[in-house]
Amino acid sequence: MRDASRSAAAAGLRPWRTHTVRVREILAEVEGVATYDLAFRDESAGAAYRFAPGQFNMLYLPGAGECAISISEDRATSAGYRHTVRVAGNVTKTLTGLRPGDTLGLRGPFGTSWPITDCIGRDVVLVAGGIGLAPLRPAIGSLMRNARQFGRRHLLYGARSPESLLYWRQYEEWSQAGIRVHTTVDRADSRWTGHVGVATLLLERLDAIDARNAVLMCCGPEVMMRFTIAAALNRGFAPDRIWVSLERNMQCGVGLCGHCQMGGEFVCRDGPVFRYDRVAPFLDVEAF
Amino acid sequence: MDVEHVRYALEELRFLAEVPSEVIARLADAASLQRAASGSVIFREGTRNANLYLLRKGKVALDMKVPGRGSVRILTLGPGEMIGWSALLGEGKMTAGAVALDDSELVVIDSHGLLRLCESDHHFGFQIMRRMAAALAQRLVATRLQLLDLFADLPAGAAAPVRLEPGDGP
Repeated sequence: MRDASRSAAAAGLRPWRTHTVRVREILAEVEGVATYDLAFRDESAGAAYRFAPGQFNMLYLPGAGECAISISEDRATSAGYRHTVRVAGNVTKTLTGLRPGDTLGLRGPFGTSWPITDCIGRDVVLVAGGIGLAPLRPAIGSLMRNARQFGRRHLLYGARSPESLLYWRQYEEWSQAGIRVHTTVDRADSRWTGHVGVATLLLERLDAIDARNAVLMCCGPEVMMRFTIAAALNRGFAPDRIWVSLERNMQCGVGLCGHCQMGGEFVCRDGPVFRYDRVAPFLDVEAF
Repeated sequence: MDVEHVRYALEELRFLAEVPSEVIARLADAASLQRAASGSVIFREGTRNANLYLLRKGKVALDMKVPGRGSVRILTLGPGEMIGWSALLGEGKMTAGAVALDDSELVVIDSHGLLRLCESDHHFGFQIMRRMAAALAQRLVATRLQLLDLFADLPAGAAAPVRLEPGDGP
């Protein structure tokens, strides 16, 4: 599985080196969520920086701390590096105080990536919940750019309400690129004519798919992912073609500190993107 | 609408996947096809309805009226899914309203006739009730996930669906 990874250490980068990045732009997404477009102050470091869809950076704010944030858009569509952030703690709260032109620290990229090459010649289903769409957006970019390499491509996305659908301005662009975008919300009034219900229902309804040969990538609340996996297995997806992005308290980013340890795996180093059959024994363990 | 056409429609439905053909043939005798234009009401909450519906094409929403909040959309259903279970398992009083969101096509099954079939042929009845139970179990699990409100904003310190930060943990 590690062949899908491009960890900082494997790439020969210096994982402890913190680069100074400047906030180029802040895009308000939905309530409590914003995307920060970050550019390296050292242009040569920026030019050398590479990441793969699904990886994350550690963002550092002096006086507040460091936090792991997924890279939420790839470079083909962004001059800087975009990170979509929901306020959840001290660092992200401090981040909301930044303005364009302010600087912060960045080290990375860390972790494993979505298995884009495994998708060649296969149908692909992306299942996202809430802000879990952010780590999948770079994969959407890859699936758009090399469309002919892949089979049918579906995005199943669930959010709390119509107002909290992330990146809604891009759905039309994704659809035009051949990705069938299916959205659903947990709650809505009768003016909403889209789907209501959880994303697992969308997966159970999906008919234009060769499930036995398809690849499924999933990111969202862990409970949602557990039920998505159950629905996928029930539909005939193979356990070794289901991938999940897990969330844990990641601090060092290179599997040294142990804060994100899950069984024998370190989520920051061996994940965050895992093949399901590798982490299946841990997903039902409460302590993990 | 001939019975063969109805039987063909039933065979296509995910709800009846792997149901023996003789069971589908008997079900077809008690069923018919109905179209519902986008925006049309299939049944209203609180009213009595004698039909069970299986959605063949289109999209149907289930709404419930909540004082002070108006009509709240509970669930949308797609092709292959069942609508109006109260007609078969309840007393026929609808627990939610159903409205077509797209031009839709439904297989309509008279619940009294279906119940008579179930009672007269327990093998048939088992096959039908097994599908009903599976569909309702799936809907129950989905409802539980909605109840969990997984995407709600959580106070700092609680697990949230973003990368956790130092200081957020226990």
